[in-house]
Amino acid sequence: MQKVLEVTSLLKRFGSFTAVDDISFSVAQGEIVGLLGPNGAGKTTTIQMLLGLTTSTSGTISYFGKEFTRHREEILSKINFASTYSHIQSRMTVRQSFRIYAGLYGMDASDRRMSELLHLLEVEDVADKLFWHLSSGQQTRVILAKALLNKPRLILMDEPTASLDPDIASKVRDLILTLQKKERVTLLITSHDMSEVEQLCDRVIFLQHGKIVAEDTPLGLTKRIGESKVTVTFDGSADPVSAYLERKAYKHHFPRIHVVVVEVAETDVPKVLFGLSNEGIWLTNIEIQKPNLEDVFLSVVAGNYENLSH
Amino acid sequence: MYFFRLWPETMKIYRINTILLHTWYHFLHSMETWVDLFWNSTLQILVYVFLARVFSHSSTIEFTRYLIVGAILWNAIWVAQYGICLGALWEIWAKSFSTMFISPLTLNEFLVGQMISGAIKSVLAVAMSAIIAYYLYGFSIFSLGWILIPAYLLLLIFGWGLGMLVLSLIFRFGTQVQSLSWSVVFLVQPLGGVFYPLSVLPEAMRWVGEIMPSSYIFISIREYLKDGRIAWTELGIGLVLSIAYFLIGYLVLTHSFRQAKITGAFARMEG
Repeated sequence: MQKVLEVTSLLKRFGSFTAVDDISFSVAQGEIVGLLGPNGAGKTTTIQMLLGLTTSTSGTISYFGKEFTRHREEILSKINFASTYSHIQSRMTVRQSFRIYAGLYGMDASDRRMSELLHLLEVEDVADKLFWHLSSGQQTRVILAKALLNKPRLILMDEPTASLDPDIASKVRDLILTLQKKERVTLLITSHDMSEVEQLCDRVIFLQHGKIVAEDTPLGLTKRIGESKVTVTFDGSADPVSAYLERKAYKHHFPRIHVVVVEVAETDVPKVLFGLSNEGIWLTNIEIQKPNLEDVFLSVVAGNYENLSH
Repeated sequence: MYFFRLWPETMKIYRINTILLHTWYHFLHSMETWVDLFWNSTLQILVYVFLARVFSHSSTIEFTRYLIVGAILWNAIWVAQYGICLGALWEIWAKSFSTMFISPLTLNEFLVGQMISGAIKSVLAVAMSAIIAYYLYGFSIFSLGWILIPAYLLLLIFGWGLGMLVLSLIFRFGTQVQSLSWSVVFLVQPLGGVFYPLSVLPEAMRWVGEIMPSSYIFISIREYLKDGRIAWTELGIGLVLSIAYFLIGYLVLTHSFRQAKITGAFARMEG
């Protein structure tokens, strides 16, 4: 598949501090890739370098097979960016701002495109309002519409659904998936909403201390975590439960007096349940929680990422 | 070598036009810009017109005309400088400056757009001051003859140079130095020979005026008002110094812009 973005040995130092430490990755046409990591991991600096707002110390960034610094104008006309934290001019109406951005991208007939996009994001009634008079949710949707204005081939999104109501956030996620399917738009997304990343992303790149510590599909990463959490509610004393689990060396804890949480490999879940049952313990409720991307995130934050790398 | 490397990007007319349209849209919704341009200019020219009326009873007619022509043409420097700095600051305050620069817009296109809009705004401010001076004091700016055109252009170029120097400091140090945008230019008024010759200044301060093109441009204007003579030497020095301020301002600004991208200050500027 054609590479839309290719990052090679990207390094960014601020004095003695290394914000991004020799990272390499690529994004293929039509992919949705999540760039994840805790605060200070280097996500924002990476995005800023990808947009040309910050200059890298070394390494190369190429879009559509062309080196970014040498083809800045051509590349920026084919990509766009949306973030909860960046705005358009607050003293202008949305319509005026869209005309300005259409002009900067060298587009004609921006009003029709703007109307389509505002309709798509259900904010068509704000076109003639000043940006600073909009609610934060409306502002986020307008920024998203602006990011689609030039029909970009690649969109970088920083927290695309932060500050949105759940129903609108869900619509935005649906819109992102529709764009990917219909127009083969490629997306690189940062988000702290792990369920959103699991829903949207074909592939996830985890950053920690400026380095890529894990890269795979969301399912592939969660499989590497390995352990499921089995929450069992039981009748009677906890002693036989504890005795059985300790005898079998299953990792467990008792969050409440009649509840035990056992952390085991997915394949061992039936063994645990049958074992407890065979001990004569009356199981009144069973919940099985498979590892998810949030567990991966917490592992990365805790520094346990050796098992996540290939 | 790096410092003197010129910006290797071509400019597109349609993007410069878009910056002009942007300035116009912003102007429509910004009461502050209206106040700065028209209210402040009106108050300033009123002060000098009334001072001229007072002095006209005890001073030579030339001196009062020097005051008025200084007050009118001062707007050229002030608005040109202020236009460049505020054009960027309005975007930084709105957190939209970086959004503009993730489009194909270049710094040069942004600057040219701000310079042209600054020139248009300065014409408006100068015209309004000139009309007030004409009706309240009977002084016509056109009595300067053709020297008005080169003098006005040189003052604009000087203002743009100052604007780029101040903007480079904002790129370097962030918005904590933003007050320089509306304060630095006022150094020119007392020390840059706008109303009086440099000989009035104390010896120790005179060198400051001597390195400002405004001192020489206003000398040539006053010479013309006095006896209709064109002071070519002073006009020439004014030209050289204005261009020097412009080039130094541009080089320092482009260097500062590149450095701000290296240090991360550009991306952090919006807070």
